[in-house]
Amino acid sequence: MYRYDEFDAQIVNERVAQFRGQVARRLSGALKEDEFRPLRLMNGLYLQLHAYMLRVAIPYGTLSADQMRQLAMIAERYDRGYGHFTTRQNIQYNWPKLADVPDILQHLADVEMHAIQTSGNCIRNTTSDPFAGAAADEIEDPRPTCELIRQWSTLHPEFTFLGRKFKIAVTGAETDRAAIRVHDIGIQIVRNADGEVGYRMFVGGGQGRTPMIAPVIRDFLPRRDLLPWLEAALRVYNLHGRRDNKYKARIKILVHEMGAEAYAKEVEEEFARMDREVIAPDQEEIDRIAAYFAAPAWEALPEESKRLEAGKKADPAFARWAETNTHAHKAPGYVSVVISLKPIGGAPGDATAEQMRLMASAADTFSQGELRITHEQNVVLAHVKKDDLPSLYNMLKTQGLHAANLGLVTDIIACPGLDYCALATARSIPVAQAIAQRFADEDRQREIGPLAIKISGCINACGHHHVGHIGILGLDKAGVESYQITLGGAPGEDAAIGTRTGPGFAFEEVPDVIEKLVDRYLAIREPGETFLQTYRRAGMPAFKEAIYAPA
Amino acid sequence: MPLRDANGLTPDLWVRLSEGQVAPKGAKVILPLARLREEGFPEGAGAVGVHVPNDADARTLQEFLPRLSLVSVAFPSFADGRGFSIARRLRGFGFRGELRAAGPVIADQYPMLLAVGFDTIEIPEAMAERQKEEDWQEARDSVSLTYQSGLRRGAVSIFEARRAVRGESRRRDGAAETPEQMAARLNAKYRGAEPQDVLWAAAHKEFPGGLALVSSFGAESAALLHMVSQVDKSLPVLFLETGMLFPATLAYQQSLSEQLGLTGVRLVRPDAAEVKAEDPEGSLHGPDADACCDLRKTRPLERALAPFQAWVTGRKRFQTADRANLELFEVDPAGRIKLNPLADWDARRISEYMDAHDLPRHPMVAEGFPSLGCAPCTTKVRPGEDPRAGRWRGSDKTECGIHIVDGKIVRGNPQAA
Repeated sequence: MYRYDEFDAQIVNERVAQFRGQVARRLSGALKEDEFRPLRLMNGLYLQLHAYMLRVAIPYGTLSADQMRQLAMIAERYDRGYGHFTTRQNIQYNWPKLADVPDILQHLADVEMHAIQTSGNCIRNTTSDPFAGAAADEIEDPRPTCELIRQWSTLHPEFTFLGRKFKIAVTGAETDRAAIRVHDIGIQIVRNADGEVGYRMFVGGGQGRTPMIAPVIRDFLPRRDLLPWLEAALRVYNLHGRRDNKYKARIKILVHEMGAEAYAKEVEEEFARMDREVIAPDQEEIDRIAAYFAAPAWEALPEESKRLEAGKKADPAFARWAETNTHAHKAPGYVSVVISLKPIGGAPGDATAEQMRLMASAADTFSQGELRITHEQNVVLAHVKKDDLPSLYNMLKTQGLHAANLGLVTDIIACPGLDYCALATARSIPVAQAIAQRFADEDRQREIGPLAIKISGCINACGHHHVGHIGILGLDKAGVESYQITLGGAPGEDAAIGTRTGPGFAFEEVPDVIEKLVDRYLAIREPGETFLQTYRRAGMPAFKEAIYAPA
Repeated sequence: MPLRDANGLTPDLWVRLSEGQVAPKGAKVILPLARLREEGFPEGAGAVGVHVPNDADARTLQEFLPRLSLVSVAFPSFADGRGFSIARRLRGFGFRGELRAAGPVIADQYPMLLAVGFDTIEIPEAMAERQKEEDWQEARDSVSLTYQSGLRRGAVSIFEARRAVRGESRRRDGAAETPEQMAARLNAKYRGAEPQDVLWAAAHKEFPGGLALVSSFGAESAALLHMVSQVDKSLPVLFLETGMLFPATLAYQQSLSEQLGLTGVRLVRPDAAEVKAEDPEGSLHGPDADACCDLRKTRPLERALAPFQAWVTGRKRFQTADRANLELFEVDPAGRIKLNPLADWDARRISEYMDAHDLPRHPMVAEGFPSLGCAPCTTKVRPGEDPRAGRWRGSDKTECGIHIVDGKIVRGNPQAA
């Protein structure tokens, strides 16, 4: 993975020193809260319902075991012993004290991490495929591209006061595990007819209040033109995006109102005018960054593992986990393992300091010392030998990290909701917990098969409810929580925005409603069909009837 | 309303014309864009600027740009960042006049405004009162590096710096170019150009973010430093503080930097550990002046120059016989481009320039020191002698080792291999 050079280190350390001064001014009263606000937001510090919240960037979700241990230390020393992994592949601390934040940032800088641009109307942390560099189906590891974007977008003076926040995602595979079509800019690494690797650029997708699927704005962009083109795309947005209404300020509204063609024309004109040679990094720089992500030397292993098969036979629970929580790897004899942070009854995405340390040790022992955070709020060990799966499983079990529910009904995405968030209109985590409890039976989960439930506690859609097979949106209806259900959403290459079923439901009704939907699916599915496939075939009425028909 | 440039508060010499107001004769006036469009350029004004709202399309300004000396861009609030992109477009169109940000921006935006091409910032009185002077300076100085290329300011571009560390030259037009080829190309391109224009092009076109000036703040330094202050006040200026300089030089450095508003001056000092090991008594210059220069000048400068792609020196052909063949652009042993904008200026021309711009002389020039180095190795020059005859008098040494002559390294450079 990427390591800072002296310049990366200096820029982050300067930022820590600067923020230390700003915090001192705030604590002494020299800065008022409204003046301090933009400064703290630039450093990922929010003021939430009960306390400050610090969001730390995990660039494209990749971190080293040592970085994970540092996150654990921070959780223990400055928070209440846990952290929350987010749908942006970041980590949030919910209880830091303002006076401690500069020290926390310094601890992060010491392990080459920061919280720069994790909030505010600027370019946020670039996200990516959690199986990058390991997936059997990728054209190229997307992380060098992500790292290049991370550097270019860090403290970009032109794009720090955009109309609204700006999110970029990159995938290196046809199968989209980074939800690029619901990002402000989605980048797909592609190969053109001549075999040259470049980028397909999607612009103007998003979730939130007005969910949209991004259109393709440039079908093939040569690699070297990436940064100048991004600069052109952002400049057109910065100049023409709406500023009159914060709910219409995202780039998706601009692209939608201008039309994809007109927007593309403006971008290409701007791009043509630029001194691209000056903006673009040279090949040596691209190669320098890529070298950090060179694939490790794989051991020559047989595809089948006798130890794995023996382990499965001996322990059915392990067998279930090994089947559910692994993903195909490009090297024979290896798999990528997903550690579920969704134990039944837990808060999705939360991990204690002990759990973080255990995952760090597991990474050191079994997966080249490196981990990934997924946008489904789980943790990936990308390069695990099949032979090692039984040992890894036993290790994870000691900290309750062995939930065998990846992609199943209890692998629920949920935002922090009204328990933490100042914007929330309803609770999310308790809804997730109640649904998980309802479906706790492991055999039943397997019977239901792949089903993604995603819960947001307000219209901003941090819980990605629009792209959940079942989406749940918590609203405030005259002081009472009300939950809207959407069906048929999907984040990947077949991206779709879910459709509302109808009127919302009360907090305590939600598990029943979900159960009715699931039962209906089980009743009408054809052999081999997933929930999403059944919904797409049978349509809304069959499901609507199940939840609204008088009993 | 208070106005500041890259250096700090500065007087506003421009008048904003109110509706229907006739331009005072010879005055510098700023018109609203609508009026410029309707009435064209006013007669009799000394210079014309335009104030544009931030929803104006910069492309429609292009026809006016050649005759405009200033463009003022409205910032209705600090959070409305459209002006940043307007500035980049205007600079992209080649506008070289004053670019002004007008509105309630905050101190923390100072470095960003300078980076995208603004020269001046005009904030409302009420806003200025709440933002202390040191907040502005702190914000400006808080960022010494940037990940972006092609910006206008003193901060070092990391991509450029890495290129420099790799010892490669910028590639343009897609073709690889050795530093020697680049120097030859730039010599052909800029031969005969005025030093100010060469400097401007080097700072903003050829090496944006990758250029530094090395100055001794010596007898003739003020001319080049003044030119730099006209081109980019925040350009990094590396000053070798050897620890052996005349107190008068240190005082002159401070007062001159302040007078010219230079914000990028960095004191480059010898490494304390190396000094302790190699010259604990501070007497090395006596037995081995070369070793002393190497410890106090060559190595510190090499370290300080590492992030840069090109550097500017004040050397002139007339100075010594060795420098008689000095080119405008050269290549240093580390593969960096070295720019000598004053190569063909003589002492008289420099003196005239300093008079014309009212620049203060180094106080010791009047005492008979036409060339100034470290105190132990600098003596007075007698009438008729080479101006640098007072440097390392009594030895055949004429250069300290940080410059090369005729493509050859005058003294060994440990990092040049």
